Amino acid sequence: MRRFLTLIALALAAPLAAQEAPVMEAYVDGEVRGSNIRVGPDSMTGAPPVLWTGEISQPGADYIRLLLRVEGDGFDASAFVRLVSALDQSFDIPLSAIPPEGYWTNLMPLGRVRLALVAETVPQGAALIIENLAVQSAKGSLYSTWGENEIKPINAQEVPQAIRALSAPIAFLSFIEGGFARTCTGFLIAPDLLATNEHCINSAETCRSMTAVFGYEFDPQNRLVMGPQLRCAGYDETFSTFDLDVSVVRLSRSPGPEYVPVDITAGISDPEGPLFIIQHPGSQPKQVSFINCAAVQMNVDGRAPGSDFTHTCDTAGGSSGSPVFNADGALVGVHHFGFMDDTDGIWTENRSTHADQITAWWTTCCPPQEDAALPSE
Amino acid sequence: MQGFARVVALMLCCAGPLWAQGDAPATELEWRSASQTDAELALELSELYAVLYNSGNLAVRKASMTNSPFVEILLREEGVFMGSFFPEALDALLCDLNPGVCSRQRTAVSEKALTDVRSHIGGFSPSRGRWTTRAGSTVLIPDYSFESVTVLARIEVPADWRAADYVAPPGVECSAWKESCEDLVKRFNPPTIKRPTGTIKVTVPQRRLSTTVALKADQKSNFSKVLSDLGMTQSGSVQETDFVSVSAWSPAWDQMITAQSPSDLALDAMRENLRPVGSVAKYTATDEPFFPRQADLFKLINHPFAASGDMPDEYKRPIGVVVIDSRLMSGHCDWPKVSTTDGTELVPPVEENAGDVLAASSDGTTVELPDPECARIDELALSDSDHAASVGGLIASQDNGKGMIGLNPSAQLQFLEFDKNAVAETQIENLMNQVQRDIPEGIRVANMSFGILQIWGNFDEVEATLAAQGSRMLFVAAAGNEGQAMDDASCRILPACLNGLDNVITVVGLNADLADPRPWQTGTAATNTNPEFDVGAIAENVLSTVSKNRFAHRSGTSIAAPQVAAAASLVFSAGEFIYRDAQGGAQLAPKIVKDRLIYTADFFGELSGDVRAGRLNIGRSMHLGDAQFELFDGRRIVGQVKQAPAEFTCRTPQEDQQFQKWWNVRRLVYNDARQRHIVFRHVGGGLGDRYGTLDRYPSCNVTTESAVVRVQTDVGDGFEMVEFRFDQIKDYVSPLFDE
Repeated sequence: MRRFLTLIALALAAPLAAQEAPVMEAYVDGEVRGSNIRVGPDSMTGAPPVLWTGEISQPGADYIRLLLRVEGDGFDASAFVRLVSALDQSFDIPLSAIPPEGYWTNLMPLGRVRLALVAETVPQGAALIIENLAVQSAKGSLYSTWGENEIKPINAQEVPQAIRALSAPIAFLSFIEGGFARTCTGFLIAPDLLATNEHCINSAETCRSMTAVFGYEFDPQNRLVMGPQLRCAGYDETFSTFDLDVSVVRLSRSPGPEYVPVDITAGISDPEGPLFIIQHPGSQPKQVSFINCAAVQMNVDGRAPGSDFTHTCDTAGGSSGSPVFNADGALVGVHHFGFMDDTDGIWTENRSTHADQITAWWTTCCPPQEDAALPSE
Repeated sequence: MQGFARVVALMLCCAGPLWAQGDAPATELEWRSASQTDAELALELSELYAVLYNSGNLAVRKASMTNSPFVEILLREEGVFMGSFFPEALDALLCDLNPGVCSRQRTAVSEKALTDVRSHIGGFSPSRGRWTTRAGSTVLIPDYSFESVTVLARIEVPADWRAADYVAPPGVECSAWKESCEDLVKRFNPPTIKRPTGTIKVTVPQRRLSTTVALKADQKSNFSKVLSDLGMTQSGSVQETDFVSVSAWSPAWDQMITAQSPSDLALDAMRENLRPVGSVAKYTATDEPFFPRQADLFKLINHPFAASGDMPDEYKRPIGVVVIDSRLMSGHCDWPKVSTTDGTELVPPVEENAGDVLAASSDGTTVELPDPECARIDELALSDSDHAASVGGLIASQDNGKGMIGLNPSAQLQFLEFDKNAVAETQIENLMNQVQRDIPEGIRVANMSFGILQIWGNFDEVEATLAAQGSRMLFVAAAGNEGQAMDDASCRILPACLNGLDNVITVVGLNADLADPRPWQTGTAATNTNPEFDVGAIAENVLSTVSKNRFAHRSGTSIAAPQVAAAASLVFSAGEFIYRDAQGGAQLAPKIVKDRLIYTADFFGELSGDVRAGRLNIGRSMHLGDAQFELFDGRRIVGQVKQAPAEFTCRTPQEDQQFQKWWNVRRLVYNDARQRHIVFRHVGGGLGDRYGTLDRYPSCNVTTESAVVRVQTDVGDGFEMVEFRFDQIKDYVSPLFDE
């Protein structure tokens, strides 16, 4: 519906309607498999309060997610599921908070999760259903590189500290759409507001399953680490622009004061000089492209006339929604297209939308939010 | 007192009334120095005497200054002081002991300094004494007898250190290891490729001093009550008159020592140096509070604890077992003293350092505090640290009246962190480096309850790394919980799929059905299976320790593998005890132990295709020295086979299986379902060989009937000969070695 309205709007605004743009969709990095695991009264492994424990492991998967559903209404009000990831992060999900359509859990890294069902009483006529598993399975993705692939892990020695210092608000986005696990990149623009591409998050459905994983990276010792995971708290189409391929969604809370948002109000119009893109290419932990990374053509037509600039920064599927910075660390654009993704030969360069146009849209459409009242972790 | 006293107090909540009704006996404990230099030793001895003096527990005797008027020289001559200098505090203490021949400036310490019982002398600051002694004077000196003890210590040295250059310092002797200290150092510090620059840690023998310290009866002492309940007090062996009578304490100190327990003050101050005298293994297995929860497991794997509750001494040798697992931040109240392989001791957590216990990030979950009672079962213990703790605890939890008991409480447990968070490529590299470099010499068994997928061409390199340890270590690998039915071609999980090596044994998880076990499975996970995997163990609802002094029931092949690791350590223990003399002190080859665990398992037809052997049978595997027979008429005969046919025959279409060499058969067990015997035998070697391939032939219809088997069995102090026909054999297990 949203796209349809946008198309009508574009048709009415004749100068804007002439653009030819490839169909864009978020990177698919895994599949959704049926699991149909039913934890009911006859399958309990223990007595209250820990009724059941189990483990799910998908060897070789970078991550898994579980679609939970509750069958019947026999669980007491305090019942919850505890998930413990392979990185020892722990998540408690109250069963009372699981909607009828189910709940996609947070992302469980390294393809492994331990679970416990906790309740004060053994439910009669009720069960916890693990209905589906989203399993990361893509091994390699198409990189849109100029020359050699020069994307570096964010904590690689050769990455300047000035770049690394700006990386905290950039998050790995995982969501489910069309029966596939998909990924994009997003970045905080306010303590609890996250921007990404419109072609990534564009509906209440994609929002519901979205989790934003901050701090998903290899540390200087080359060990996988992961910060907080925050959920999309609601999708508002007024916070979304098809033309500029940007959506802004509200998170369930702020990840904390150390995740300093990117300033999108500066309105930088000219992406001159060296650039860098902090991103999650191919569903990988956080990386950065800064070598041979620069704008080529300014003000080329994207989804809207003059909305894009082309660039030589290396990217891949999953990089959509990454912030593009100039050497001063100011936002100059949002990456939204890699040329390897175009099978129709319409766009043959990497593309970013212009930050100043995003600024203009944002300041017009959406009043700034009050920061002070936001909770932090 | 702080944490120590708190622990004591908590222990007492369960100790008591028995003590309250009786008199407090004296307590004797072993004190052992911990210093690595002569200067540290001087201070350590001085502090020991100060603590004993200040708590009224210093034992003294008279000594005559025959050669010199200096008290320092007298103490050295009498063997009650060593070290590179004579501390001022010790001089002051001796001065106060001998007011007739010494005086000194005595300034009362501050109230704050008073609480450190090691830092003052009866409430006064240390100061040098003005002695008027001369040769021939008699003075009071501490009355302790020190023995020299050599221990192995990990020390940091420059990277260019070479074991070959090591020369044992005076006083260090290594007879306990039955070799020279120089050879010992070479054995424990093999050359390593690509040493790091800077410094390295090496294992060297070091001298320690040991003495017995007596604390007099103290009704106020909490800790003495605990020791008493452990049977560690020696009532009546120490007289009040053995202790110095002190009249020179400051009024402030006198007041403090009257209000508090002198023994507890002393124990708290000396805790780093104290070792219990005698054995604390007072409890039998059945005294463990959670023993009833473990009974099913013991029965399923036929562990001796299921029957007698104890094990013979030959199974109590300290065999080294390393648990290669996720990172563990602390020890456990139910464990023995454990360390990581780099020598870091893992001490049980206490409340005040709970923040250090687990470096898990939490999102909305309350951080658990350690359980001070050592008695809490918490099924929500699901972290990676809990995983490592459950593996270690099932192997070596102590028979100490707390919690549970491990399958081999005498095992010497160490932990080696395997970094599961590293990038996949470096996981294999790290694993190889750790196995090659970080496992100490004394380790005989390694438990590996993890799996990593094969990547590129590293499989051969990993295999070579494990194979290189073939002479000294058995690796026990969990099959994994992905529910895959694998075969040789599809087997790609490390290290489980490396069990073709002589020193890798892979463990399939089984359910807890005693009579009809099946591969373990739940709604979310199941054991991987492979007809080439070696043996099964229990993967369902097994109680073990978890982090923060808690306990939990665990499921999965991760908890099955340590059962086999513990069994292997028991076979190493007994085998090297029984056969050591005959073999000139040699160690058991890991292959011998691996094969033993396979051919002594319980066979079940329904497990065919899932695992090579059946369910682990620890009791059968541990009975090393004798042949074990079960006859069709129900008789069980254990002893030495004195006569048997050199060869017996099977009716089978396979011509090469028709004739079986008796002395190469390790197991001959009747399969009721197929009405055939299963034969396990070593092939490829000479008669009686144990180093050839262990081969399984599942379909032998025994046709040798009337040949006589004669077995010499022990009866009382003598023996008797039992005879039976060959076709009466329902089950036969060979001894580990022939006589």
